[in-house]
Amino acid sequence: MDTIMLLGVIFFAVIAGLLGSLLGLGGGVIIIPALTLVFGVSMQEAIGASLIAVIASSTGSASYYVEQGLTNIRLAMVLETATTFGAVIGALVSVYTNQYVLALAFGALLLYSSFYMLRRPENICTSPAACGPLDLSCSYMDQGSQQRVEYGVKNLGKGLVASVGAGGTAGLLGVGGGIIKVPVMNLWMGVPMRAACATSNFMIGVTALAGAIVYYEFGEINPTLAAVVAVGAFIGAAIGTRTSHRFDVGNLKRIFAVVMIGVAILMFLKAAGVVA
Amino acid sequence: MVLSLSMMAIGLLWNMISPSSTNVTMGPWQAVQAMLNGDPIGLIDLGIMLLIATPLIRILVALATFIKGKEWKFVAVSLIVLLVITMAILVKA
Repeated sequence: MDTIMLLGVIFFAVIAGLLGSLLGLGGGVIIIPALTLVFGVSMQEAIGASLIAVIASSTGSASYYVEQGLTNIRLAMVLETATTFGAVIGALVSVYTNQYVLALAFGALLLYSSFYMLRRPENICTSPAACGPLDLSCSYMDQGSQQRVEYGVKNLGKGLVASVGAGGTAGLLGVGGGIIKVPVMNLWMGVPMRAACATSNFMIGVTALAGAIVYYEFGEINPTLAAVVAVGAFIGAAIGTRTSHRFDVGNLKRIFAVVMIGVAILMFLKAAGVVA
Repeated sequence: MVLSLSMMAIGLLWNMISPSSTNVTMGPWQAVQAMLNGDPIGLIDLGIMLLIATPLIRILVALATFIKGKEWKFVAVSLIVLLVITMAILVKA
């Protein structure tokens, strides 16, 4: 990899890590399109590198959010049973799939998610009563408004099913799955946006772990590429976590949705062979 | 963890200075041998493997916390996650 490409990849990786940690994603949303569209890397290689980067950026911000009390670790672990399972299956499928099909799937995923996010208002479950056999209610101190926020978690069954899908997508397309997890937690399960993002951040590292193991076993990881992306993403994520409280929730969602729509269009172009 | 990323960063710089002829991922033992043979990819691979292990450590820490707090339902949950991860490692076998 020559120096120019190296610098370019680092740049995108840092941006990806930054936006990723702010929105509860692993940055794969940005890294994969960047690698495939800008640098002409194959989907499988991009996915492999992205999974590694997802772990890096998740690690970069997870401990900070946990310290802040934003992460709902119990919820994360419960959902992770489903996501890791989905991720292994997804990764196995992806290794054997044509990359244009993957690009198409990626674009479709982004489009769906962005519209979903733009449509519904935030839905907080305000009574922290135990729902079902597991009490996943949690609370945190919101830095922006300096108020204690308490919430309960509902629709766990739906959340688990969605999590298998999120994991499958992560394994298949190299994203952290945050694209699905954050809306699912926020809109279906009643978790406030900031907590959803922090919890998702915690989870995506584990999900990517499952996918990355499969990719590594099948030799689909390009070490230098993965290393460059990982280092960049980590730096971006580290910056993002420490500045996240300066951004308000509404803007967070809008950025999320806009990023996804733009990238979706590009991926469709790639799948159609219009863009290399 | 910072260690794995430092390993990768150093490996990358090393590779820029004296490029390796290979660019593949290898198992832990081969990576150590490669590194000792002067191949920077070995170091990078080790860094990657270490990075991959990081979330695993996170799960183990959570598991330990649940055991200490006697939250047996969540202990079970954590064990299920570990089981899936183990399956992932064994999938190629």
